[in-house]
Amino acid sequence: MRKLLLLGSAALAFGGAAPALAQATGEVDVNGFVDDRCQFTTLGDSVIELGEISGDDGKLDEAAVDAGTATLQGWCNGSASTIGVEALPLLNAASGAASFDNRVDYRATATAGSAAPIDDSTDAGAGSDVALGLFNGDIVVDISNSASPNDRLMVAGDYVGSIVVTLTPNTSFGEQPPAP
Amino acid sequence: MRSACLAVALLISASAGTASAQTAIDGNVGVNANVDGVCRLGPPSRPSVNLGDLSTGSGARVGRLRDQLEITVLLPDSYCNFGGTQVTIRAEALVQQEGSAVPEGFARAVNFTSTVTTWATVPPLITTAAGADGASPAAEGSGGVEPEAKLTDLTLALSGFSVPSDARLIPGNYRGQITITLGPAATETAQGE
Repeated sequence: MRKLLLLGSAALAFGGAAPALAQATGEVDVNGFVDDRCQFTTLGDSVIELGEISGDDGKLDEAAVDAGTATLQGWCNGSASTIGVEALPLLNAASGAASFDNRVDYRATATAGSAAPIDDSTDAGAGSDVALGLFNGDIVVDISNSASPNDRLMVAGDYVGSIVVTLTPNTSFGEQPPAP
Repeated sequence: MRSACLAVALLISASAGTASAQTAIDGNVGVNANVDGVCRLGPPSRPSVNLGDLSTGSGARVGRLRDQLEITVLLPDSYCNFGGTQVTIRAEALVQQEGSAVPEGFARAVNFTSTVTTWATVPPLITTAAGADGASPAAEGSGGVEPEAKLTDLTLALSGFSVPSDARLIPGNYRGQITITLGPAATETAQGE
């Protein structure tokens, strides 16, 4: 009986101390975000080899140029991303001779899903950007509407131009942490 | 304190990620092409030239070559789309081809001078020198070099018709030929330069 009392007393003492200790709750907030990004994958660069672009009459063979096409691969993870394209003319380094053309202009179209921005090489700078949104896949670059400036005979030699496709992430969600 | 340090570290990491993510990225498509070098001669305005009767029908020069006016043949819209080109002429004297022996005082060949103008600064100027018997009728030569691509109307001119020793001409049909070549300049120095 005595033993039981002592035990009961001890239990009472412990039970009496417990209410004095405040219960503590620790919280760890875990936040993160995914930036808007766009990337070209392994097919970020390509070359269109048109070969001979003059016809039997010595003038530009428009069909040969308009057949030019290439495929890039890329993605954008933001709903506000855009795609744009800039066409730079095919130029020959030789000085222009009277009665001859040494430049080929054309329209470039970059088709990514339902987005298809265009640019004419006759206009300086890139064409207008087009909404792209979430995208992952092929970007098909096509040439059309080719022409030499005066529809004259083409100077012999190599012609070099380029098409630049630009993927722009923009911001598809709220403000992000400021830069330090 | 430890948690404060961690918070700062995370903040820095997040900011660095933001700076790199918002950059537009370009994909490049090179476009290469070429135009082959080519020269073309326009169709001659006169594919053949018939001089008619070459000999004088009467007078002191009867039987000898009659005076011939200069003959021109136009080759319109001839061009080369590259520089470093020249015109070459190969001319064959008018020769009577029937092959019988040529008596003394007679000839079976009519020589002439040919030139092609409006290509390079120095035109080719070729004169045939066939013998009275019609031997060695051909002559060939080139003009100067045109340094740039050019489109022009070429003019072939035939003049200076003559007979060796001004001999009387054997009767019969006489035939000659002029071949014009427009193309890359030969490596050796062209005639007239």
